[in-house]
Amino acid sequence: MKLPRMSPQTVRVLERFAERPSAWHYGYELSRETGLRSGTLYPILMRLAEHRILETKWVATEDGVPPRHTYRLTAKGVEVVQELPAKMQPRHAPRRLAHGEGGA
Amino acid sequence: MENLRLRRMAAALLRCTLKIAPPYPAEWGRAMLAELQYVEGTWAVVVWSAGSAGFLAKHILFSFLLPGKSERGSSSDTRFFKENPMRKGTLIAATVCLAASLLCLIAPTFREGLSLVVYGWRADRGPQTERWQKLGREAESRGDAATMAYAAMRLPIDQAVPLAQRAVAHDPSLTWVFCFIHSRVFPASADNRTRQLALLSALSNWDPDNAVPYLAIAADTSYQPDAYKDAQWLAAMEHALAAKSYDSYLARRVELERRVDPTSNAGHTLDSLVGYWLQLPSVGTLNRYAGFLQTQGEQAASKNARREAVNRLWSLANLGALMRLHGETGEQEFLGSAMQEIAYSHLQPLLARLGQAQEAQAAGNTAHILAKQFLAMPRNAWDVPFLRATALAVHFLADLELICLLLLASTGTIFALGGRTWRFVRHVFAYVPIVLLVSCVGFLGVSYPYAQAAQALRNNPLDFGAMLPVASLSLGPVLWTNWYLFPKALYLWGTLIALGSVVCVWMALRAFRHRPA
Repeated sequence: MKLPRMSPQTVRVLERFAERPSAWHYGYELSRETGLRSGTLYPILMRLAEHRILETKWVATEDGVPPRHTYRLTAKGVEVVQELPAKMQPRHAPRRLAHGEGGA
Repeated sequence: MENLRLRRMAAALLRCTLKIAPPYPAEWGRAMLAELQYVEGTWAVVVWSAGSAGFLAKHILFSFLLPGKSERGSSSDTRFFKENPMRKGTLIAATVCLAASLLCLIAPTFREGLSLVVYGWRADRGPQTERWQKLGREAESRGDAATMAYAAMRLPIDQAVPLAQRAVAHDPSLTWVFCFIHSRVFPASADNRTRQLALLSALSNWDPDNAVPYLAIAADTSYQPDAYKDAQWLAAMEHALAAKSYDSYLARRVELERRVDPTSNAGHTLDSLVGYWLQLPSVGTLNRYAGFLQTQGEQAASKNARREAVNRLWSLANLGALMRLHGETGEQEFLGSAMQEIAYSHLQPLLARLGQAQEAQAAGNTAHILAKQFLAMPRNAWDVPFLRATALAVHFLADLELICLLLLASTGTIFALGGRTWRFVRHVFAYVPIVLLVSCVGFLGVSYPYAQAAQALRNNPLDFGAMLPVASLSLGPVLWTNWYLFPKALYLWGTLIALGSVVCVWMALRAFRHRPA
């Protein structure tokens, strides 16, 4: 399947979703957790949504308060996260062996 | 309080940006706006708002460049992915560009530049022999000698000479036209040389005190190194040196042309560029002649013979002064200066030989001063390769404007008839006005100096400094064409630009078809 460009920032966002694949996330919450600013985060979210890796939904909150937009991994998105190459998952990838280490 | 103000400003910035954002990214913009009230910290709000506005601004810019972007993918929230017709903003921008392009027509320099370019396209129709033949016949039928002479100066030489002779027979005061007919490029042949000499002989008989006919006879059109040894050449120079006046007849020609055709664009035609050019001896030939006189004087046995050589050199210097005083073009002033400098520099050793030390020193000093002045004289304010390159750019921009107008007209027709090729219509209406505006503004800038030169030429048709750039632009298509491949320059340029335009449109459509989903 055709994937969007997997920049380090995109991987960071996907990691957040991978922690709770079935949960809906708010934009500001993702921004705080990933450390990405709105100008960086929302193009990533838009691109992931275009590739059907994320699904989106408007959620009503309190009366008089504008609804908020939420995001969740789709089934395809879950597969994508699982199939991400190890080197694109810096937190979960095995530690690289330094020179002289390791071996049987 | 200040924090609240900053928050409100941040929200207002995002709302303003949302108002002009295209529908598709605007939905994401609303999502970012909705999050704004949950952002903690005043500066964090400002940063959030600025980042969101920047994101929307990028899409606003893209929407002008890539109008009517269609949906990308789909999601559960269909509000994000809508079909986008051509945006009102794009239409407004295109209309503004079109109006601004038309406003360029108000600028006089723009119109002047266009007229020079259009003249060039018309001039490419060839020498228009039939037109001048008809004019000459009609003028002869009513006995209008001036118009006959006017036509004769534009006809091919085999028709020009008899017509000019008949014009002069009607009105002998028009004998000066022989000077311009003879000076047009002759095919090199003995018969044509005889014809030239016959015309110049008639001219010199009519105006015996004028140096110009004799200089024309002496003009070394073949640029042979030993032309000055020719008996006919020497005899002509003798008469030229003895002449009391210098009149190149250019002022008379300009007056006649304005009388016969007040609307004629003097200086724009090939006939002017070539016909105003007088046949005069080259600087090299004059230098060799002066050297010949100096050698004659130095080797002469008698004092009288030496004195004769000196007198001839003095006469050469005087002739140069006459040219500088009465010459009507920069070229003639240039030659006059060269003639003076050559004469004085060869006089100095002869005078010294004759024992006239003071006169020799004066001649030498004068030669040095003239050499300095000569070197400092502006030959041509325009660098010729630069002239050609900018004239080419002017023609290209004019052709581009025409292509844009044709595209808009044809696309408008398609649109009015149903607009089946909707995407093509959308792209043309979005891109082409921008290209038209850019080409109009570019044309206005690049053609400005040519327009100024054309105005100067209109005020003084003998301003050769202005004639060169004007002729280079208006005659560009004629002068640049490879006659063997493209007999008509317009076909060459039209073909190149049409091909280029087709390639550009094909590439753009291909890029849109294959852009990522």
